[in-house]
Amino acid sequence: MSFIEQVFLNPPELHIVGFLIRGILAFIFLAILARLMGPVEIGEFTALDFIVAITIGSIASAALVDSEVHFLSSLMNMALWAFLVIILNLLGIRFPNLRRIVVGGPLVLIRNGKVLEKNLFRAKLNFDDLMSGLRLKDAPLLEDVEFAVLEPRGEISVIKKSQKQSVTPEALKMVTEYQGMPSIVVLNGKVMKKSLESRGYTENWLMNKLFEMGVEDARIVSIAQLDSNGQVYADLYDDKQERPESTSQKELIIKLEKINAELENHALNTGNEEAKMLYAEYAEKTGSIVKALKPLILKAEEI
Amino acid sequence: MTVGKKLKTTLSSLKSAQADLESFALETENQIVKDSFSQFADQTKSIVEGLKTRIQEIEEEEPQYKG
Repeated sequence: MSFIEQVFLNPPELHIVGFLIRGILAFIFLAILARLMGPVEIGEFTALDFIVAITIGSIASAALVDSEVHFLSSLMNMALWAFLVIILNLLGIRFPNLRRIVVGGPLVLIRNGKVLEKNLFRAKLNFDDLMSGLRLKDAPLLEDVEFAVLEPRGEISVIKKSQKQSVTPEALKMVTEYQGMPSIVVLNGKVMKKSLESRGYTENWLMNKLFEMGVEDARIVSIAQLDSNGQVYADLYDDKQERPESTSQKELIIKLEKINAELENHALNTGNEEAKMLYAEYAEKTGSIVKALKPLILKAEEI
Repeated sequence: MTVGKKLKTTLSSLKSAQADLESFALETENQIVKDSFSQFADQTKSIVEGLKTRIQEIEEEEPQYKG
């Protein structure tokens, strides 16, 4: 056999370089298959996913340690199993009943506060498993649980009795601000122009914001995040430095009020008549700026 | 804290407030708001200058107040 044939077929012996090539090829092949089969998080497998994953792995590893394993056939079967799972999942979208037969559907374990022991048996779960699942969902007390369902991917989901659910701002009749997705605007010292622009900001704007925080060069920023209110949070490479914060407009008002109070203090504490007048004048100026800012800031936020 | 130190604290808060006002002026697209912020920034700037001068005076006349 030629060397290439030896790598791909089933020779009685294979040079170590041949195994190396098989290893690299199998790795790349598996990465592609995994990408095609995904995205499924590890820990979110159905029983079938699990068995298929182990089998595909076993096929790959056999060819990497035994030359007499037919490598091409290994690659073929790995791909075949991956595609069978993909097709099964795709069919399951169109025919949900098929999916329930093959993979199983959700199973109710607790209904209206009562544990369904027959279903626990069907799920092959004992009470330890059930209680563990409940604790992990912050429902350690059975009396708090209205519904508990065993999901096909193995997780237990819990719906608590409405009295026992956490309080939401809605329940307290609190008005909250819109919370959108934050964007990463600086990563590894580089400004992410596309992210900025898709939020409607410019690089200049960002550099100003950073400057305000005491950061002169984006290169010292390892990561910076922009929230839905236009606030920038920057983390620097140098962890010894204080994390810089940018001032919101409300913080500015508080700052000015503090300055105003300090100036009034200075005026009281000084014996010097000229200084007293100076500080008092400044206190008045800052006081009027605060007065003028308050309505302005409400306006700006409405915009 | 000495007098000098207290005044310097106020001074640095003022400087930072001035910077905030200037950057808010830059950020906003509303022309009226922009002008107001710029105006406040200028006012704050003149307070900063005045306070700086005063601190210098104190430090020259009465070195024990240096902070």
